[in-house]
Amino acid sequence: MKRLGRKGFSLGALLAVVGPGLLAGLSDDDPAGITTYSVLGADHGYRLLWVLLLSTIALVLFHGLAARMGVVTGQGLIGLVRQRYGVRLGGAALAVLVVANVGTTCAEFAGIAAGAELFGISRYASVPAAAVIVSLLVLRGSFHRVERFLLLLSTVFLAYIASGVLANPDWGAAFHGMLVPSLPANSAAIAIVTATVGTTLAPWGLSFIQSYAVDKKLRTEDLSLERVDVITGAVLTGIIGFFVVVACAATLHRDGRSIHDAADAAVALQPLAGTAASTLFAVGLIGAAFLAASIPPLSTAYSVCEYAGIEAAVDDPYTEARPFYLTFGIVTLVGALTVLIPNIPLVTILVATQVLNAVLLVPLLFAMIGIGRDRDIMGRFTSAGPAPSPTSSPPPWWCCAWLGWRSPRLPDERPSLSGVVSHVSTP
Amino acid sequence: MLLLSRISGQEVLGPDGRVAGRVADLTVRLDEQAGPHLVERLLVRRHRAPDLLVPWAAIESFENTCVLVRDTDDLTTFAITSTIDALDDDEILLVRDVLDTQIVDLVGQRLARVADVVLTRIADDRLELVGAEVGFGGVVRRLGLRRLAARDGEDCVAWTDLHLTSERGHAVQLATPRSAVHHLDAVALAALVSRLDTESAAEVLAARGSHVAADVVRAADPAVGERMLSAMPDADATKILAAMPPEHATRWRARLAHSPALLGRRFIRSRVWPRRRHTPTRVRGTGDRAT
Repeated sequence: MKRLGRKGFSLGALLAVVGPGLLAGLSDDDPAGITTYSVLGADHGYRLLWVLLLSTIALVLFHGLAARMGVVTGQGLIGLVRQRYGVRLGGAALAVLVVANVGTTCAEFAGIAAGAELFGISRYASVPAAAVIVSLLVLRGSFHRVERFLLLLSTVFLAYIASGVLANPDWGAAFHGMLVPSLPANSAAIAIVTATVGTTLAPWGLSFIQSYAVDKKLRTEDLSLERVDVITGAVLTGIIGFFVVVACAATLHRDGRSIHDAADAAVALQPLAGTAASTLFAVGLIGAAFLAASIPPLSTAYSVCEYAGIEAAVDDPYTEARPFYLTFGIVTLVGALTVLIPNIPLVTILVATQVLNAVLLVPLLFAMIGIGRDRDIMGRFTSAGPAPSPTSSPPPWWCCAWLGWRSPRLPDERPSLSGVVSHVSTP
Repeated sequence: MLLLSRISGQEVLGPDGRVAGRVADLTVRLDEQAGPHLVERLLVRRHRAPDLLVPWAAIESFENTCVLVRDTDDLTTFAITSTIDALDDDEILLVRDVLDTQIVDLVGQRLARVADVVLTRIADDRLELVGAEVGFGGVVRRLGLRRLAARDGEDCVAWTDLHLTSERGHAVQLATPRSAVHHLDAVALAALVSRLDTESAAEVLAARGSHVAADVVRAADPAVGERMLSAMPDADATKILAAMPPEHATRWRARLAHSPALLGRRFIRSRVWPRRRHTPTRVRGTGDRAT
């Protein structure tokens, strides 16, 4: 097929392409991501930093693959899974994505509730209000007017970089933990490792980056620039995650404290912000949660319509795009209502949904690997290598399995995460 | 009427009456000068043996439950090592290149996904390609929920009224003069290219020549026209602009010179297809579902 070329490599060309990878990567630093990284650092110190390194590598590989699939085929993830594997497996992939997205939506509303509670606002007021505001902004097509403001709020989490440095961490232990893998052989450690993988490389993120690449009408000539975009986003995510863990390890873990609510997590910002740490954390949490709360319902609605073969978008009136609007509404409603269940622990929701994300991610990754290696779909952009098999699955799971098998139980295991894990297994 | 989803997977019996394999796909040639599009060959998948590409002339009978190959033929003569290499330039596979792929409905002016491919039996026991069933009803039926599918009704696009977006389907349709894309006027082409990815849209313009392309750019949404012209090599874009009336060409040159890379960029995905200009038409029921 003839290819028409974009002219040259320039800063302008890069700026025109940058976006999907950067946003999908940075969106991983949502309330669930920050909370999961905080729990990782608070409960395990620097020891599990290697998980972040592997997750970041996996993020580069799979976000790159998703963007490439979107650019080459001009289709979203679920539509492509249906084309490659038929309606049954496509339906199964859709079900997986819907469950994972509902879980992520819960996590975003939990972030809004936790941030609002730091200001003394009840979740029974903040969550319904947030659900209505996000729905109205997105469905009335005016979300783009506030999204940059929300993104600006969520850059508060960059403060973790300064806070991590100011907390005088043990840099030797941090780099040792990042480069030398070890895993305590207990369910708490395995749960938080799984949650870390699930929050870094999430199903909605894969679906989102592919759709965004399609929406931007990127071309195959843009792929090298898009790779820069993806790597930048993933590395930034990894760096922020690294400093969140380091800040929590140098403050909470050193003092023997655990994270039970958002106020605990905010303590890690005290080396930078002092007494304003809670306010700073709450602002970042709410901004990131508002921004992220719109994406999973929207991603789910597009995926359902892609699978069903129905042309629908937010520009369409309700009468013409009922499945689209109903899906958006149901996902938002379920996400918000779950957080409003009396006495439900918000930190548990934030971590547990990321464990769910990681588990549901595996079949989607296999589907993506299969599509990436299908010459009929990807043409000259086909991935090299044999057909997907269990041995070719992403590295973090196999590293965890291997380390879980060989690692001895470490003596200084903190009991606090066991509580989280017990909530995870029996919500 | 026959549905492709029910044909694929059928057993294929060899001359000795034993199962030789299963129907994996059907091929159709799009470059026939006139007359119906007929199924030309069957792709038969075998267990631990090379695939077969069996010409229709070698089919003894094509029934609902199995396909019989004539006893005069040695099946090994139809064995292939590569499906891509074995196909003619104008030949497409219906399962691979059409089923579950996206199509542009040129009459309804909408993007849709093929739920099933509709065929009909004609004289000499040949199969003719009729069209593509779209919508959720066909999906539900293939999932085995027939009662639910019946409630959704039927929605079928005639083969002559659609453009394929799959890699090979798009390429073959562009290369075959009989395809609908070569007979659309500028307004209809503008609706088509607005639903295609940038490269495919640019290829459609290139296939129709600079004068038609100039009319299409003028008829399309300005954002679509700008996207296509920006994606083309300078020489091609210049030819298209030269084919426009001078005042339009001047306006487009100014627009292209001042198009900022970041204008209108949104962070979240807020739209996927261009706003529809026409209500989709539910056309031509597929009739009986007997197989």
